Amino acid sequence: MNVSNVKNNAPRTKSRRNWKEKLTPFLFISPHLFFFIIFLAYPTFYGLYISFHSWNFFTDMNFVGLQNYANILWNTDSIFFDYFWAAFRATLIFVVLSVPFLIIIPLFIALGINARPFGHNFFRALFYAPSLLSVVTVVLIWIWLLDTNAGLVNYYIGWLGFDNIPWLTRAPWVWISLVVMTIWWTIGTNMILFLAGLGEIPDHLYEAAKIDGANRIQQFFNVTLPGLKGPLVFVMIMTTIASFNVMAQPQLATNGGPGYETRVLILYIYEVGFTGGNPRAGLAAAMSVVLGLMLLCISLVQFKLMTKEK
Amino acid sequence: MKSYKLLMAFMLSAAMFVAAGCSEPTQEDPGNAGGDGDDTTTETPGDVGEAEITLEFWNGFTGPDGEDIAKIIADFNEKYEGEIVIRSQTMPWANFYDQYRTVVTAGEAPDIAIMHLDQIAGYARYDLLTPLDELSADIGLVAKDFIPEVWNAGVYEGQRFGIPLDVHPLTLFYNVDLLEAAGYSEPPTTYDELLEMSLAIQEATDAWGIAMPVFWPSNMIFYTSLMSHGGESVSEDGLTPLYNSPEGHEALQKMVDLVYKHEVSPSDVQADGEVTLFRQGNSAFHLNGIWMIAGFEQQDGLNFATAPVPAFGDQEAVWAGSHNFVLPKQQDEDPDRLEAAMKFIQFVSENSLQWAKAGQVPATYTVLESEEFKALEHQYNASQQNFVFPPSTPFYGDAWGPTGPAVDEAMLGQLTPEEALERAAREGEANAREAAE
Repeated sequence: MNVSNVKNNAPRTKSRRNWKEKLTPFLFISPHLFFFIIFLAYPTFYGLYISFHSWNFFTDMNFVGLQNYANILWNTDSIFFDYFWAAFRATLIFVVLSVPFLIIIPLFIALGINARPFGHNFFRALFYAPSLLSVVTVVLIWIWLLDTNAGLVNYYIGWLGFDNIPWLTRAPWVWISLVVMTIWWTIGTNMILFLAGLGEIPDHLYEAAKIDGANRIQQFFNVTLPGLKGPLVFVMIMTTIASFNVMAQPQLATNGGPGYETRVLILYIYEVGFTGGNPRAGLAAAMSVVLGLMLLCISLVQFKLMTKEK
Repeated sequence: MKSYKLLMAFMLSAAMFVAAGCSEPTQEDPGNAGGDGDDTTTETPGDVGEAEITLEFWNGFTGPDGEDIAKIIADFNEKYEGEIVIRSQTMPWANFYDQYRTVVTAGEAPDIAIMHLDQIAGYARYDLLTPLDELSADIGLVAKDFIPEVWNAGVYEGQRFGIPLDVHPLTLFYNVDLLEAAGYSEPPTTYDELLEMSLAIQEATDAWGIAMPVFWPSNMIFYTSLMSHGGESVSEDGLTPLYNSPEGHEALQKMVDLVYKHEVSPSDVQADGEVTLFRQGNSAFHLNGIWMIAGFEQQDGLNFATAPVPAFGDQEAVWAGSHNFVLPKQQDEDPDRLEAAMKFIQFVSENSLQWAKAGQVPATYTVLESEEFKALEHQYNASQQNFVFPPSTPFYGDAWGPTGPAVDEAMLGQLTPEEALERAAREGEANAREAAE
């Protein structure tokens, strides 16, 4: 009896422990997993599902296969084809104009502050402060500053003897305005990331470089930049994604105009999906999927290029 | 390095799919100038307890106008204490339609809601609103009590779905001091007078005559000018844009001419730039919706008045919008609740003077012709116009919408009026046909 009991019990305890061991990590991630599934995984797959349907929220979903994708990707007769690619062009312009500045300017500010000049804490707070404002506040401040006829910027430009600049009504000025307000608003975040990265670079590397006779510029390219590789990859990918997802600045400052000049993808997706008497959720979802896939490809390419070992 | 890659992968997927979801207040709503709160507030105005019937009332009056409607509801709740109580939910208009769609799809629609006139057909098309013909007849609401244009605009395919609360037309604001400086005491009534007075004011003062906006509300002004020239917006069924006509070209050309030919308006007036110039006393005339009254009244040192929009063509006609009561369709229709809802609508209609003070034109003649309303000078002057509402069709927004960017580009001189309207009509037709499929 006893013997058989022991025999029977042994594997059971083992399997129970096994089972527990397997479950433990799930318990740790379960709170996050729960929210991840509800707010990310489910909406993502539901969005994919909607994109194959014609739906306006009221009627039943109508399966249309690839028609939504056709209308934006290869059906050149469709009005949405023109709108989508115009919006894509607008987004691309914004990304190309904004990303380099959003990386280079915070990098140099971080370098300056990291050198610990007099008042560096004050400047760190100062450069970070705009990031705390909501986008509506930021855009309103800049609209007032950049007002063609009553704004401060054009007042000084007029004082210098130049004509008014149509900052918020004409290309290419609209792009400059949108990029400038975005830079002002978001440099703080990237600056903090760079500062953290700079703090991680050991001092002895600089000392060694000095002993080898490297000047400041050589130190920057041979010690600082390689040391910042991790944060740089992160900042570059996150900034690119954020710039692709721009919406509120053109929506509030230029209303997507003049014409369709600054109607960026997310703004257009919002208009298609949620405004007007006839929302087109399927089409909007299809555009989101296409944008998501594009971002995935671009990020992967960036990641591969940046982390390639020499 | 590996954990870093994992982190990256997660951050990537998170950022990509999260960022698409935000919605900011848009400029599309003309009915509410001061709505900047993001939250939905629920309240039961008045000092009342439980009642036999509790009705949910949804609206988008988040600005100062919210207080005025709350006062009316409080009076109603006190009058019908124990019988009917209204619980109001207020949210910004941008969220209103989003949330409304969600609850309606889930079968949990509010009992009463306020909707913009041009939205009604879109909801009526899917059978989401209760027809009100019999209900309003039962309670004694009759056509002759209302301004006919706005009353008729609430009908879609032969059935009434909306009861108008107010009318908010485009109107002319003018700076009394600047007009006096140039020797005028009366506002202009025609385009030529507007032009002549603007030139005289520019001669006598440093101010501009008028500031013509490039962006919104430029296409509301275009609509007004188009109506004044005897043009039409879109066909009755909403499928065919009719604005790309000789009348349309002339209507838009006259707006553009104010900037480039007659030079009585600065060019490149960006979003809200025309409001700033008028507030500062740097432009004598200003075309905007009647909802600007409250804001201008608070502006220090601005001595302004309102008047009907000068006729750009040979007819008097202006763009106007309207807030309408609607009764969303319920899963289980209860005649008692419907009757209670109609009592509320009737009560508000009869007591809309309070509402007029918020800067609106009431829709009923009893209030319109009252001495108290005539004492509200700005609202009264703006009410003395010929309102033209868009045709009641679910496709109006699709067919008319592309005029927005087109008028922008014409006002910048980047496209001629003919090119701009031709493009808009082409896009509008494609849009509407697609929506009707």
